[in-house]
Amino acid sequence: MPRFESVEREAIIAWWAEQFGIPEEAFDDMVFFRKGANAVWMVVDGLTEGVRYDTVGITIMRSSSIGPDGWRPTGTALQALAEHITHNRVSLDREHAVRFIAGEEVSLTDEHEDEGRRYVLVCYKGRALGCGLASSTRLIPQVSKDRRIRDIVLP
Amino acid sequence: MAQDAIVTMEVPDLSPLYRYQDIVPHFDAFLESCEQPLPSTVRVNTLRADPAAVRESLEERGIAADPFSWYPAGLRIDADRPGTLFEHFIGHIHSQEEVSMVPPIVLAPRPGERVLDLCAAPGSKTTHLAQMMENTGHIIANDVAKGRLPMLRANCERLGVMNTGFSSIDGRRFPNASFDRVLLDPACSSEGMARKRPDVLWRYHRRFRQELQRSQSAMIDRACELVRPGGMLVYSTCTYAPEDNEVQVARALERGFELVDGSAPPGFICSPGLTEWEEHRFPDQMRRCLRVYPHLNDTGGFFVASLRKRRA
Repeated sequence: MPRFESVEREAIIAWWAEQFGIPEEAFDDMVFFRKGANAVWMVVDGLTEGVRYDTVGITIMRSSSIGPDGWRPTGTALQALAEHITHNRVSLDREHAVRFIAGEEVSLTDEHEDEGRRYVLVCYKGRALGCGLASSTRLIPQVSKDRRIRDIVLP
Repeated sequence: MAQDAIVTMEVPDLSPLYRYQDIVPHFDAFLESCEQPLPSTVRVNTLRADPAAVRESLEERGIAADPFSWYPAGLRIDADRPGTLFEHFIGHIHSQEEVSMVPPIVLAPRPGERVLDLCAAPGSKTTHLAQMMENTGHIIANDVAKGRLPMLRANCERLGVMNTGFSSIDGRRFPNASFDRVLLDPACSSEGMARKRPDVLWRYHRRFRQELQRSQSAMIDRACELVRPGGMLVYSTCTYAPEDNEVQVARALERGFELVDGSAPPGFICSPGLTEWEEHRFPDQMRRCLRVYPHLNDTGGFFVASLRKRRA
């Protein structure tokens, strides 16, 4: 796969451990690739020799001017790894979850104060909705435009 | 008072299907079924969710969800736009035609295997293969139409598929490799889609159909070479045309493959493949192909052939 660069496995695993508390074992079968400077992909090990891949697996992080160490997580990765995530996790009530899924900013309650600006896994009733950028008082959804749904009916 | 409104229903012109009146059982029922809209169906993504829990979640909101008689992870649901449901947003369901779940089930990939989906976009079958493989092993989801890869990738990402790599290689010239199983679901004359898009019967001119068939031939020839000895090839289309179906499968039979008997999912009703069509004569085993007509299971139309490569 000459078009891909390898990335340093330990650095990626350490980033996810620090940001979200994900144990190293969660990545046991995974390999990581980078194409250009902007994104890191994760795929189950087992690519086929001699095939020219366009992309592999899922995008797990993208470069970011404000994210820790210059990276931010993707919502796809947070959803896929949700069961392992122990911190930087925010649960929304029904009304706020509807707004989040529509791509609208949500106000956060006092319990999130003093934690600073950070990327979080956003949940509703324990289900992973995706990635948000949280500050002490608000949460900005990182849901791509084509995935947003207006007036969703929640369980 | 104004004259009573005259309600007109657009009746699709199904005359291109009349060429099949001698091969389709209960032809009148077939035509009648082709005029009906398709039921709304989804597949539960078992990588993330349990079919019973999804049903319960939907039914709590008054959305009826009934599992297919032949496949518990397939649901007929009482919702016009499944893509706007919460379960879709969180990757617990995928909006997919019932009949398009048949080819992956017939291919039956196992965890840890190496699988090629040669014409993969938009990814309904790829993501189905991934859940059958429990996100292990490796799938190459290939589609020559590079412009369709973003949609294919988006579906895989939403459903949490992590055992898949994506390529945009011309399937006729896919590089040398060896796969346990290959799915070939090529572009076809799409007559089986008439319930969803009635105009499809009139969209393709004869010359374009012949072009499609030449491409199918080149792809099935290449696919035959990519399956390991003892491995499986499933060839499927959404059309009734024998030129797209039995004529192509005959090429695999000449290349060291045999058709697998009894490949239909139990409870799913299929007609046998044809042993003759116009000037063509096919071996008896061609009857092992699955012809799916809309009136048999209230689905779209399809064709599926399950082929095993002989060991050298």
